[in-house]
Amino acid sequence: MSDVVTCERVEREALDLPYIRGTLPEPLAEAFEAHYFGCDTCWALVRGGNEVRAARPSFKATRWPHSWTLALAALLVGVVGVGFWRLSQPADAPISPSSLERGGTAAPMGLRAAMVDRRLAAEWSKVPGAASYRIRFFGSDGALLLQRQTADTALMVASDSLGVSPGTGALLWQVQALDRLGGELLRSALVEVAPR
Amino acid sequence: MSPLQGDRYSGGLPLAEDRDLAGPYWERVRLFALRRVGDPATAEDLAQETLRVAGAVLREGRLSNPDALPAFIFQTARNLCMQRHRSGARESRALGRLQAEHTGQAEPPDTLLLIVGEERCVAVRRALARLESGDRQLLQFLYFDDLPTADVSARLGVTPDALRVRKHRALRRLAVALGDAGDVTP
Repeated sequence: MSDVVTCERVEREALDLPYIRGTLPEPLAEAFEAHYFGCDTCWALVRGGNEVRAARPSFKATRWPHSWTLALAALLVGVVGVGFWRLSQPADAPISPSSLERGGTAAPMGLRAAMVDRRLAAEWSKVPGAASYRIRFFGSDGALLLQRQTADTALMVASDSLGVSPGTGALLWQVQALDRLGGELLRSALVEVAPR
Repeated sequence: MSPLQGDRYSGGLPLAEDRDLAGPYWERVRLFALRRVGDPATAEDLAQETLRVAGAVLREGRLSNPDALPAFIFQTARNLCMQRHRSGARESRALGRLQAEHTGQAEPPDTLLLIVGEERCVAVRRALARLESGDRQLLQFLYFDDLPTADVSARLGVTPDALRVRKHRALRRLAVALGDAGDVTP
């Protein structure tokens, strides 16, 4: 261990931030760990900061179990099979309201979004059966600016990460409700973010 | 701090005889181990083993200087992680290569965040919502947006020294809002 870490150094160089972000060089990270094992003040910075980071609306502490890959493959086979079956049906077959809601873009999901203090705050209604939601933001030219996935029904992102300034240019967004395997349950209409 | 404070995060506790050590060290050792092994369950095993070893050394009176306990626990955790790393290195390298090939993912995930359970995340979000807007904004800049401290200082119009003080205070008030007040040092 070549680095010596003290409370003063932690304060001066704000070592806790790169440590919890995973960007502190390894020898220094280990020296910092040796320090906070015996320092409640510095440990409080690490623990508190890490908890706040983990509570970011866009973060979801889950992993993709390997066993789900097989389940997803089975689901995909089913979806493709249903697709072929539907293609084989007469073209003028009536479309049920439920098919419009599931496959279309007109499903009401109570989308609300607004720019506040250089942040975009967005929220939508909970969809029964949805395990997560994929939120996508598009520019006025249709380019995808940002995509996030969350289990919550709200999201907050810095306008910087969208590459737009509040009040400039149209910003569109859409929410997809996903089941546990990532399959789409419902998709919202593409709506414009209310300018502030 | 309660001896059982380590139960805050999801996961099991050490054996009963080592619980006196769990309060101050359980979370630290778990986080330390998680950063090395990348898997919450393995990190928990290593934390439990570390505290078991430390408990045994204390019971046998082999640690004469109580002030050396943090360093002893740190070194024990480090040694156990290195042992685990050696035995699992070959397998994990192969798995890592395979995973990278399949996912195209080169960047390591935010490993440390895996230690915070979903229930705790919900509690933290609620506590954040109860904070004053100044505290909340500061914490969001630093921990949601990962902004450099210089940028946060500039945005909030405060000096870096003032930002440090405000960060401490905001985290302390968050701990109070979470009901961890007795667990927070000044």
